[in-house]
Amino acid sequence: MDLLPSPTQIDTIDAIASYLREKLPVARYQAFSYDTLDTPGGALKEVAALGWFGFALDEALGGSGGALTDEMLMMREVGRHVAPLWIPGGVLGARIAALAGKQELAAALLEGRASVAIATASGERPASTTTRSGRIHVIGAERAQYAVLVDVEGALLLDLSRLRLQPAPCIERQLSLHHAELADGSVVAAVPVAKDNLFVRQTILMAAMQAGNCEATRDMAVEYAKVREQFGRPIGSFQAISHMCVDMALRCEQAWTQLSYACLAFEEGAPDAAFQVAAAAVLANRSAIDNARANLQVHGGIGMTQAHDVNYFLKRSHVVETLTGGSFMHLDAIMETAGATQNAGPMVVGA
Amino acid sequence: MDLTFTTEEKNFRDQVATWLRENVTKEERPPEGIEAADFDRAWQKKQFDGGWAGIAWPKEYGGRGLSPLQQLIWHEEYVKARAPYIGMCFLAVNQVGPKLMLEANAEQRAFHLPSILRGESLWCQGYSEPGAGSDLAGLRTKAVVEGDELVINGQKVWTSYAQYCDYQEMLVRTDPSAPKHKGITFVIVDLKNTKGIDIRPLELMSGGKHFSEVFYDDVRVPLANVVGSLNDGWKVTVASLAFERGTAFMAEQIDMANKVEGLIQYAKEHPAPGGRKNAIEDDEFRRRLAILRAEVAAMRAMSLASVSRIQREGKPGPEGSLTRLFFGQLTQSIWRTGMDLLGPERLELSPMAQGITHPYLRTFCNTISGGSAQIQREVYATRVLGMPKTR
Repeated sequence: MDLLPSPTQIDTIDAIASYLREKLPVARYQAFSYDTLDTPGGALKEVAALGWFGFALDEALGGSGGALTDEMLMMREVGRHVAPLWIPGGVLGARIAALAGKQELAAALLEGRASVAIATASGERPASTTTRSGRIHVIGAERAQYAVLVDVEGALLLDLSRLRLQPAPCIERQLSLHHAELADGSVVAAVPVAKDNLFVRQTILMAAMQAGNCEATRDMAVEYAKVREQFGRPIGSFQAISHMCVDMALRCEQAWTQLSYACLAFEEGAPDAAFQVAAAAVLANRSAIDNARANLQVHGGIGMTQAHDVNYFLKRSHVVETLTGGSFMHLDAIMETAGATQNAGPMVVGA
Repeated sequence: MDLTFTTEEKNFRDQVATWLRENVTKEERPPEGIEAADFDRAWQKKQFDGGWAGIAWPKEYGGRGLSPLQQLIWHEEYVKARAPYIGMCFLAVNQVGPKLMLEANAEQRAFHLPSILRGESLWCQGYSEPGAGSDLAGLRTKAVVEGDELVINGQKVWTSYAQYCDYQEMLVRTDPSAPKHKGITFVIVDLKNTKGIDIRPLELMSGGKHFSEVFYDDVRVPLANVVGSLNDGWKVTVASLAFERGTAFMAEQIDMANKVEGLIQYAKEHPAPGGRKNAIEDDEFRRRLAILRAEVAAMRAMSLASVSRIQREGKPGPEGSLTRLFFGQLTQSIWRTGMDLLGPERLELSPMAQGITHPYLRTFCNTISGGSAQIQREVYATRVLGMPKTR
């Protein structure tokens, strides 16, 4: 039993983090004008060449055959940089194509020849992957060719050119957002939950982004509190501020340790995996949103402006919460999966 | 990263489970008093005789010399077997022992450590004073060197189980002219064989006499009982705080899952206050209970991460303060939810350590004792986050 990343995993994390710092830092948003969208550019092929889209995909299917924990560690770094959503989109899209037997499409996605947005069921008639109808929101459709739609019953890969997309402004202004009616004819690949639980995978990847997000805002708040002076001293010397930062640190520990445990439980097929993942989603969402809010408060007025990075983390935390399926859904799942934890006793580790 | 256990660890788990099944007494632990002290001593002795005391303690002190992970397995099985609360042995086994291993001299270790494991000595703490709570280093109980003795005068307070204990680990001021952290000495006091000590129990709001005030009137203690050197007591204490804030509460943390499952069971069988449906069907209660379940899972994951870190680095990391902070908050929200679930029955005081209302009143302790939640935050902010000193 070891909940910490291995030395090899730590090396991989460092390499991923240094690419993101250099090529896709959150500061890229600062260079954008008011309405610029964060669409996939040259980075798409570079990220594909680094193998990020196939980390945990079987080698026989064109991936590197790594563990889901590797992908989770990668997405934590992605979250730390408010990095593009076509990264998780590509991971999920390539997996759906490959598992559905669409080898050519999978290869195109793994090589970064097309990019993948993320759709989520929405509105009064939310879409279902089973009926293949209903309303969806698509995030990042601008200049993307495909979108994934994942729910508890299965996963679809959609051809965006076959959907009638209606643009809407997104709270995270650099993301494109569209409404659409899901059309059966847009489905180019489908994977039922019995074949692969992509819903749990997407939840874990999104929760990992939230964990990275809340660690980044903790660090931002702490650094700012050390240098920003009021009343002649750093604001971090006031308990009202420093204790807020400690609560942020506690939320980071809750989110990351629970997610690590849940990811391992899922990979190892533990009987309480569904419960652990739902708990991880709830805590990661809460930690990311609460930390982003606290970070804004620590920064004061500047935190409310487009001129500072603070707002991007807040908005992203809400975007990603939505992409986990929403916390309320996972709270219900926690109560529905009760049997698994009770039967296994209070501790099920390696039992 | 993995959750798997080795064959050796699995066998160890089987042995632990078997021994506990055969040896955990059916008898309820008495909630307080000398009966509780006797019960705790006897249960500790039974664990020692079975070879299960001090699993991660070195063999030379009567322990088993096993890994922190095996210690965790023990705690897990202990809770599953519904073995009795450690009670008055808590301080000696979880804090005094590790502290003495780290800071005491060979003679002190040889004298005290085996008797702690055998349940022969119960310990209490002598830290807080009426004027020194969160500002512990502001303590004023004075000790003067006379020949080969320290002569102690002053008062301590919030001393758990003082009336039943054999020894007290105490902080006293030995150099009033030094800066406050530099004039403190750590000394062991033999409570049963020392004159001039007056122990006056205080009644808790939940009933019961858990704490005492302790008064010292020309109390003479051999200098040989000083741990570390004179005026070096603050360092001795701080060095061992990681144990208190980190792994010491592991069994209680694991046990919280049982508490939450108990509330969920209650919510399935009882209507929500003011409502017609059972509480579990009420959206607000259902979600609050779901959050508690998630938080208890996270608490356990944090403990596992701590053990992973101890295994890799040999000592608990700074996350211990956060675990302790979370533990206090979580126990309070568990029992607060219990109070809300009860309806007018919340006015009935449950028997000590049973039901909901008595434990609810006791949970206030969890963000005050052993360093208040505010002090835990202070320590983490300055030592880990590197925040400028406050106040």
